Amino acid sequence: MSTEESVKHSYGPEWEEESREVLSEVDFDTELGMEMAKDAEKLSKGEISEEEFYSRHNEKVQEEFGIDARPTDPRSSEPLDKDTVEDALNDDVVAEPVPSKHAERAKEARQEGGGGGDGGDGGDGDDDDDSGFSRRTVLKSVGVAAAGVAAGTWNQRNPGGIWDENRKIEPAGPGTSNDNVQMGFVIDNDACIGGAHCAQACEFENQTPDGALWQFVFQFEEPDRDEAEFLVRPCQHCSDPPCVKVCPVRARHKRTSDGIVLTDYDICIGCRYCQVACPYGVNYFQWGEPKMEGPQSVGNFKEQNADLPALDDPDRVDDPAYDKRGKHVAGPQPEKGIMGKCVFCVHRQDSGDPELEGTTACYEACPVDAIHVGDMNDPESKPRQYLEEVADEVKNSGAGYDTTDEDSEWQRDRHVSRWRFQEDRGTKPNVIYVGHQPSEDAKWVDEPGAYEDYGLEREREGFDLESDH
Amino acid sequence: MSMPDASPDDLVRPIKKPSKKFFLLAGLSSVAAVIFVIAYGIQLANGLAVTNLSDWGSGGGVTWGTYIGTFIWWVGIAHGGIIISAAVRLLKIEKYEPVARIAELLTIGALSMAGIMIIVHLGRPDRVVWSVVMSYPTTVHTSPLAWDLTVITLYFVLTATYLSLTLRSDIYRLRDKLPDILNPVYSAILFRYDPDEDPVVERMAWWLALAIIILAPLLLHGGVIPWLFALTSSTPGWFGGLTAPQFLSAALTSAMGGVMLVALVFRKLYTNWESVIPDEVIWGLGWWMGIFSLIFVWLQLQRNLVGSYAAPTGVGKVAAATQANPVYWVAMLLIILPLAYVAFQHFGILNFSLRGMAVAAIAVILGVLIEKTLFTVEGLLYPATRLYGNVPGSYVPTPIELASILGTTGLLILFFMGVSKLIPIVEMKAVEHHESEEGGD
Amino acid sequence: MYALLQAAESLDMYAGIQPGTILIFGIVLVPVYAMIAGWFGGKPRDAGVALLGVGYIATFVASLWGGLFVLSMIIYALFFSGGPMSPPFL
Repeated sequence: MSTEESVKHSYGPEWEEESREVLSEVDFDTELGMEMAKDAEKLSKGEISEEEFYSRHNEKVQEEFGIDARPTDPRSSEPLDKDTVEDALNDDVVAEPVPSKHAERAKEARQEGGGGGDGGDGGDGDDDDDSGFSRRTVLKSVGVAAAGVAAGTWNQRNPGGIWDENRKIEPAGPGTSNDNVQMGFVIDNDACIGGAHCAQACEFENQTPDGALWQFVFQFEEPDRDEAEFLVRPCQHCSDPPCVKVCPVRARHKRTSDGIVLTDYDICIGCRYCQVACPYGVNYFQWGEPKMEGPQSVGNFKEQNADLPALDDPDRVDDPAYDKRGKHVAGPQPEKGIMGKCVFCVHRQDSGDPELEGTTACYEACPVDAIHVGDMNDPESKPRQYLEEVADEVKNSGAGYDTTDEDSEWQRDRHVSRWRFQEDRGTKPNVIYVGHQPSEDAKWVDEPGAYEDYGLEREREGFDLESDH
Repeated sequence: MSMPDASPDDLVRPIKKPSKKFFLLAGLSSVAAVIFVIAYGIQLANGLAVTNLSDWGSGGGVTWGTYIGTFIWWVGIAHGGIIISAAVRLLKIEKYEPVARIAELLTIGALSMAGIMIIVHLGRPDRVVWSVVMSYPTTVHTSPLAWDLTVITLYFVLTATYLSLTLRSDIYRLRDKLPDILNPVYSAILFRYDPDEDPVVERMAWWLALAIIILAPLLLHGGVIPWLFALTSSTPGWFGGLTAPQFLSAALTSAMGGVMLVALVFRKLYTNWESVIPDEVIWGLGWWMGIFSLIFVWLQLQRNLVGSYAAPTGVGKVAAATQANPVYWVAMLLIILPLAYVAFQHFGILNFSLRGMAVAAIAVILGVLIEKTLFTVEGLLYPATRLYGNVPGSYVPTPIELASILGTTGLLILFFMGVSKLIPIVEMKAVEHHESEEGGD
Repeated sequence: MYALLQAAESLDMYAGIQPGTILIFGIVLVPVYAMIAGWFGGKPRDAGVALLGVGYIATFVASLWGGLFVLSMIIYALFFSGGPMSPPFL
């Protein structure tokens, strides 16, 4: 582990080393980048306040980038000035011969000009709570701060367009023309940097206990390649879910209005058969008593979701743990003896708040925009549009790739190949991945200890993961 | 050795005053049961976190372990009942009549213990009846667990009905020898009894035996129980067509061992019971135990060879891990050695010995328990999603989980002791045949 | 409790004939159908005794699940009745 003098980084020694390497290639201050990342993490944990976060490093950022586009007041509704930021950054960034989809999109965003108007990034009434930060602003700040760090580390992939106005999303709920809605993900594993912000945000949003990694990120390596690759694994919300089929009490079911697979916490008997039948391993059982207060607790969930607006629908119990049908399917984490898993942030989907519908915590938190959520059946939805961009990439991928070079072919493949995880199990998963599909010999390289450096526990309480098996 | 022939008096002897040995056994079993109850209480209070179970996959553990292994084991032992009853009633093999009712009682007792294991395994046992019953019309169509509950209920209920019907004429004829204090029990059993019903009941019992012999071996332990495992493609170690025959062969092996043990215990406890349950019954049960264990070992060969030769990665990994695990070989030895012993006895290389048979029965029962639990655990440690395959994980049962094995065994012994004090546990006709063979009076 | 009833009839995606439907009603229960037919048909026949047999079956099913229900209620009262996420009675 790092010494006291170097910045202690919860992303683990490997990440730290790697980031330093990348940062040092760039003309930005390595230490500043590392410090900002460290502070971003502190902010997400609640150890420092937003104001403090933003006011730190202000001088240094000004010095380094020529501008500090981070607002010092997180509740300011002033949109971030893309052009200014982008100019400041472009001066120092090395041009990248390999075209990436992110460059394309950033280019589009620039071409659209000030399109999109005021970003949803500003506080829109959801930040009216003066007593503390709401979940969404925290996630935004994490995204913003991390993107600030990524500015330095990420030049390989994104020469210019970090601030992406397309980040705000239109709701993909029942309002669309296609009434056969199926919520799902498009996840770009190639863009993923393995920061596990998604997993952290999910844990923060749902206040899940130790060991319950509803959103999870694999880091793996192919045997003949020395490159770290990632696979982000939420619940796949399958269209032919084995977990629903095997549930002996139908606590696990698939909501017909939008295709989200949910568990009814009032019916579940804790037999764990869904956990056994799911090939993806997305189920996490509540082995002990859930905590009532403090971090990762029932109390925290209720508190931070207290600002969700109540619906007019009288059937909806005014409690974020209940969905619009009045079923107890969402956070707080389930009671002792009950099974939990990714709920597609159903408390957001049913909140009645257009800012929240069609979003999830993991989607919002990802600093590199690897996760896209929405209605997979709607061609106009965000994930589907993203896939089209990738398809365009395939068409244009001749440029910049040397097809006689195996390495280049592999890189191209990594950028554009699309697949579903273990499709041959017949579960019809609703997550489409972009990026390199792990082969039969792919090995998960992360060690148990390293995941904890993200602030996440893989062991449940009262259980020891042994290191040799 | 000359022993008086078995007579109806022998049948009611257990129902008389209990002996010292009886109290000792009852005491030990009660201690085991109490330990289990306390352990379960601790689990209810603190959740399943007191076990060494954990989420498979990123959690690095197994989610089904000792409780499920023990559940399968108890259901397996319960199959002895129908095997013996079918032999006696359908195939008219009169040799096994003395142990028929014991075997049926073993079915009832073992199925009850299996039910207890399910309760203990659940996270929310307080809801199980309501949640299951209310959703049954929906879940019966797709859930192997719902099927499992259906068939176990059927096996239990049909066996209980069989017992009740065939008990009636025995109680009627032994009534004057039975203690008066238990009259209410006997009156209940003899509800609307009329000696004319005997031939009708015989025929009904025949139909019951037929129904159960199809239901239990082919559709319960060779059906819904292994289907819980064989239908999930998420675990290559479980998936496939070989799982059901494996389960059935293991079940029948342990069932024969179970019936043999109970018979031997009763022979030991009561005078002259060597003529109630003669040696040839034990010999025959041992023979069948050998046959079933041979089939079991043969199926293990299939499983290991298929998994080792050129298997797909998922299956290959599980097979390799199982074969590398010394616990697996302990379980195999516990079944192969008794098999060899029984074979040597039958070929005349070794002498028939009751003690040897008892040891063989215990070994076989233990071996099946270990093998079933290991099967469950290894399957979950090597899931289909091979990315998880590098996650270190393991499983060793905690004392609380082991207490359930001890406790349910104790409860079963108590069950038998209780029942043997109420009703004759050997059918009258078994004793009557002895009399008629000897030229009778 | 009403929510549970709703769950049973709720939007189940697996409507219609499924593997379980055929398995339980078309295979597993066939021996039972045959047995009941055998009880009431064939000789020697006595509908009264056959009904007694059916009565035994029904009683045992009810006692088994009823007894289990009582046990589950006891567990509920002792360990789960303090409201959601309540600490145990110990």
